Amino acid sequence: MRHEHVLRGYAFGLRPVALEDAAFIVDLRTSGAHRTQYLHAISPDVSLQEQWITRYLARENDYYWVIERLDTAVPEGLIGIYAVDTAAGRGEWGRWILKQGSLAATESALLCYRIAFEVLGLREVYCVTAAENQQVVSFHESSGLIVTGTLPQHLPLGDRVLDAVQQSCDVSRWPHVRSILEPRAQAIARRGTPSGAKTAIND
Amino acid sequence: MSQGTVESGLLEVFAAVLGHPVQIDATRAHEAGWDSLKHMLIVFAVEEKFGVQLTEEEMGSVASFADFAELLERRHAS
Repeated sequence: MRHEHVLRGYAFGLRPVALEDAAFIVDLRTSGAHRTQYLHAISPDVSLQEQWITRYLARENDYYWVIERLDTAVPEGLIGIYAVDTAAGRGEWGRWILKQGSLAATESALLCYRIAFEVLGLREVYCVTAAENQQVVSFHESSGLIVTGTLPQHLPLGDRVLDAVQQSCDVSRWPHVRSILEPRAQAIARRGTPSGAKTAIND
Repeated sequence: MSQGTVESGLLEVFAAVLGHPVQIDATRAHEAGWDSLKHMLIVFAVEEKFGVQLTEEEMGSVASFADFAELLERRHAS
């Protein structure tokens, strides 16, 4: 969806994905097997990614951002809110991937929730994660989300269909989640501008 | 600081942050609860306990108990 929602945090910010990000997205999504194993595989053909972005820009209720360092505007990852049901005031967040070694996880999640609740005015956001993707399931649990569903054989991925876990944060829980994420994002930013991320080539 | 001292100190830090004891072969990819949020808590707790400061690159790259132990031993040797 073509949108103008930009949000700057302490060390990182979100800006809308543009057609020009196709090469970055392909590079990030096709390197680092352990970070991409729970995302749908994409073609290494940048022109196909440009076509995908073109379709995305025309699609309603789908928000996709590049996670950038504030000091250099260098992209470190991607995150999105999609399947937004405006009537119900809820949407799913995901498409979350970061460069190897990036310290943007905490702040990018925080910014995603801020946009969901404070900009888009959603009443609930949820994540659907492969149950075996323990690091991400654990991250959401550590963030204060609650499990709102277990979804057997829910996520088709390659030649497998994986069980999934749905974890949610509604607007009443948002202050609690924010109280967990924000101090940690601030602590990371206080340590100086994160510069640990490298181009994700080899894992 | 001896290797044993480093390991025992790290075991204390990991247990305190993760809420359960870990083995010295623990890795970020496989240890239950060692997610990105807890990772930074481990980093900050290690820094406080051992009186060191990791670089941003080190914070992002340490991915196992052994990485932390090696880093600390290197720091204390220099």
